[in-house]
Amino acid sequence: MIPVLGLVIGVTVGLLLQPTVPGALQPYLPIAVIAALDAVVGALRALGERRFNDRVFVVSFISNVLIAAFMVFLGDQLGVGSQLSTGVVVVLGIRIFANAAAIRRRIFRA
Amino acid sequence: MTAEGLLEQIAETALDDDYYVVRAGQPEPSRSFNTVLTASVLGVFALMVTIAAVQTATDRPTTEREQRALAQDVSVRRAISTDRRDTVTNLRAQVGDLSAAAGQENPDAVTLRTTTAGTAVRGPGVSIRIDPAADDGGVGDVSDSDLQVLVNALWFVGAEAVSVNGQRIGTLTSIRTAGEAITVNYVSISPPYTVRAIGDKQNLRDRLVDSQLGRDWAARAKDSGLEFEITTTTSQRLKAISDKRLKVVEARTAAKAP
Repeated sequence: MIPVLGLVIGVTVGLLLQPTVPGALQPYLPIAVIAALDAVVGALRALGERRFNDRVFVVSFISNVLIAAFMVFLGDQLGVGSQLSTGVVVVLGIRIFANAAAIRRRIFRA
Repeated sequence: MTAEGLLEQIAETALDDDYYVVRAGQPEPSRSFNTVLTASVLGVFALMVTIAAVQTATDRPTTEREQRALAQDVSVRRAISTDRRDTVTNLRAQVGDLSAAAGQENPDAVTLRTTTAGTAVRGPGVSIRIDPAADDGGVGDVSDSDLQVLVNALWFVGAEAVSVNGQRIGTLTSIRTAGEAITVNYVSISPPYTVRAIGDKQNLRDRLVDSQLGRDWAARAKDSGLEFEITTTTSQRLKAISDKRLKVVEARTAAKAP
């Protein structure tokens, strides 16, 4: 299972190297993580529905992360950074829950 | 679109449309999940999560320390502000005291200025009218020394301020005969003379009348017909002496040039 190997390698590298994020980028990391999580959960659901496509996954992952970070950046510039962050988190959270619920229904039939 | 509609739409389109668009039609087995590309993207995802988690974990003590420092700062500043408020209260009290003190003069200074005739005074007292009966130098005449003795007697019986024909008697005042007239403060006065004194009017009058001097004047009045009349007044005003007669001016020889 190469993807699981990728996960393990990512966690290991993160723990071993403990790279620090530049101060300017720090506010965007949590939002980027949420966006990435959304893409990953969507991919899992697509996998279950036999629709997974690695190209779609990569593109949606990257674009999700970039757009989320950009929205936070824009909100910071406009002075509504925290509000916009909240909005992004709410929308992504709903998507994550919906996808997770679909996966759950498929697995448990309930 | 209502808010509910928006949320529903988000929930319905939770799965990226791309998956449906790209792989429309009948579901097929997932394609190329087990690839390096997917794995590397997942690896990046795991890395991001780890970094965020580690960062938050390491940041927490810093945040707490900052918070503690801020709390300390707040308490210190609060103490400072309390201190300053106390200072303000103290200073305000001092200002109040000082402005109250500024309003009233030092009682010693007032007494001194009254005694030295440096300030006009108003109060009860006696008024003595003397009208000479003659100007021959006899008992009917009134000389400068008569007035000097009378003024001194007034001081003796308790006068606080004395004037002769409007000339206030100060520390440097002289009562002298100059030619025909008597001068007080170098101002000529002419009969009838009016000597005013401020003080306890009844006391002044009684003590003056009972004194040797009073009896003397009464005898002279009886003998020669000069007028000597003491009346008490409830309020009279004696003006201040001129500045020139308040100060001692000294001249000093200049040091000789070598």
